[in-house]
Amino acid sequence: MRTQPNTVLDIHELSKRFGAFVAVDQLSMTVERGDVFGFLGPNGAGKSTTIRMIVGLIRPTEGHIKIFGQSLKAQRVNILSRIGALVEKPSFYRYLPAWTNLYIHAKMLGGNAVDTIDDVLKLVDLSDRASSKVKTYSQGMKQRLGIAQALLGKPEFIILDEPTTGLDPQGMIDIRLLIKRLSSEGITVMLSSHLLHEVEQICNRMAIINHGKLIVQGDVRTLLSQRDGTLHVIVDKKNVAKQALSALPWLQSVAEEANGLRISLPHQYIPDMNAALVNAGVRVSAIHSDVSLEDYFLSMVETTHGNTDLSGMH
Amino acid sequence: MGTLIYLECIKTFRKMRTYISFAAILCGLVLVDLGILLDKDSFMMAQRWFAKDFFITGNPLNAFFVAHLVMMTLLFHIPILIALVAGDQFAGEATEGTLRMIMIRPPARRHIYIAKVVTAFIYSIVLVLFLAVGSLGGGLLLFGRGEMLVFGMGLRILTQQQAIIAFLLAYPLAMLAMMTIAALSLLLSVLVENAIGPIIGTMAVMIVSLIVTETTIPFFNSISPFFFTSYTKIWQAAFMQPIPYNDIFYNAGMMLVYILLFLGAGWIIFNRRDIMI
Ligand SMILES: Nc1ncnc2c1ncn2[C@@H]1O[C@H](COP(=O)(O)OP(=O)(O)OP(=O)(O)O)[C@@H](O)[C@H]1O
Ligand SMILES: [Mg+2]
Repeated sequence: MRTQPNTVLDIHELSKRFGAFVAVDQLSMTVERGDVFGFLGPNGAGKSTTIRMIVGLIRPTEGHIKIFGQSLKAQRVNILSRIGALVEKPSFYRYLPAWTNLYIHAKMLGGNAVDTIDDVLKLVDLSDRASSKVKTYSQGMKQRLGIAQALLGKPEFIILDEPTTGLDPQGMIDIRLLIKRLSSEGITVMLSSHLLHEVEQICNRMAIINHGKLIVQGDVRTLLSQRDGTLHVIVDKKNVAKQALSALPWLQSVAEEANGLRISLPHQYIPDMNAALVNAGVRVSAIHSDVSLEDYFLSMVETTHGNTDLSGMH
Repeated sequence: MGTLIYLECIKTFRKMRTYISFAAILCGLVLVDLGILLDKDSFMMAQRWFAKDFFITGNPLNAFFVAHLVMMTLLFHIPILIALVAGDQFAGEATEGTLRMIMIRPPARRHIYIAKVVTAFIYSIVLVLFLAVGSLGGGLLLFGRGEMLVFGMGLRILTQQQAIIAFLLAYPLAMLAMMTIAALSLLLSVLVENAIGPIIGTMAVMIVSLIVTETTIPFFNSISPFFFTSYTKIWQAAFMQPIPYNDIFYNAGMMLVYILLFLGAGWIIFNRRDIMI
């Protein structure tokens, strides 16, 4: 398999076994330059194990990892000096100030990483607490410091393992904004998550894994538009609406309910359905979906429990 | 490499627990000095009695005598202080999760390992140095100089010059002994991923080894060469006259062998380990 120059991460048939247990199973995927790549999977899917292999914490049982087109085994130092990562929860020397913790990491990175300490502290809004010992930090502050640590030395590729864990809603929003900002500066980001809506908000590409196996990989919008579901449409003239809809070839079912209709159809046709209703003179006051993104995610994960063909998923 | 050692020193020497050891040694020193000061008269009497067949110039209750006494008493307890810091090098970072954080940085595992070993050795050396300066310095201030009385394996008297040579030899040998114990703690630190295990482990190994090497049971005598505690007490030989240099070289060599053995085993494990914590 050839790696294109634009491929930042290329994982090829990667496996990790712990004794008889297969945590990662023949996983192949690629992250392209400029991607904000969502790495999705439920608890225990093998996300952290995969990330640990990517950053060299554990050795793969089988398979290859290429980063920036180079083999991780052969070019470890070069690769690791160009990436930043936060694997699982952030951990620091609690008895040392945040600044000194970052100093230790920056020194290990080499180059002029030390000069970036103040910048990364500012990015995560911890400048005024830089001299406080980490043991005085709250959970959310530690999480932010963990992200700051991953940004030291201006890395080209950042890997974040569930970066919004332990943050309050505002903290989550801040981190997502930060990731978008980093991406706009040309940094490639890979983030693992078990929140589909998080990935939907900030990622352009994603891979979903479960039981260590790849379920699906591709463009976020394309994948999400393929989901089916039931819609609840609130309309004023139910009969007119039903008639207008029955002419649509892709509609799967229509039924009346209390103040509107229950409709099943592939999600990409929602705008067309809406247009048809409006054209028929029906006033649509609400459309909402029965299937939450989480349900979709779970259905994906369940459908492919065995060796189900991916094409049969929608 | 220098940078990594510097960073490890920051971690070790900015931690409170590192200074427990220095505080403990200081307490021990003060206690011994105070005890001798308070009991000066009976001490002198006992010494005179022991030394009645000898002619001693100067005060027999002097810095050399006290420093030797301190060494005999405290050096038995220092291993636990060594384990406290050396045993924490890997296990402490594993439990805290910081090992995972630093191991994704460019430096090779080999270099991180060496930096931690060097730091534990620096600490061991500094601890013995602290003991030396504290006991000799304190002794000089409180008791002055003089010819040195050595008890144990008969009674000997060393001239001031001989005493100085003996200490110049004894402290480095004590450092080597503490480094051997540090190496054992480092090995256990790599092996166990909890903070207290390496400390208890080191003490357990020490106790078993001391039982074998210090008990006069014929069977133990035959196996004691396989226990490192039969070599770590060689610093005592520095106070013999004439100094048994051959013995000292042999024992120091054996300590080096143990250090390499412990560190080599530790490296093999650390190099292969999956960082799961
Ligand atoms: N050292 C180990 N020995 C045995 N099994 C392990 C080990 N480490 C991880 N596993 C197993 O591997 C599987 C994948 O774990 P991993 O931490 O990669 O999941 P994850 O996708 O990151 O989950 P989460 O969302 O909970 O963080 C789990 O079933 C876990 O129990
Ligand atoms: Mg995880």
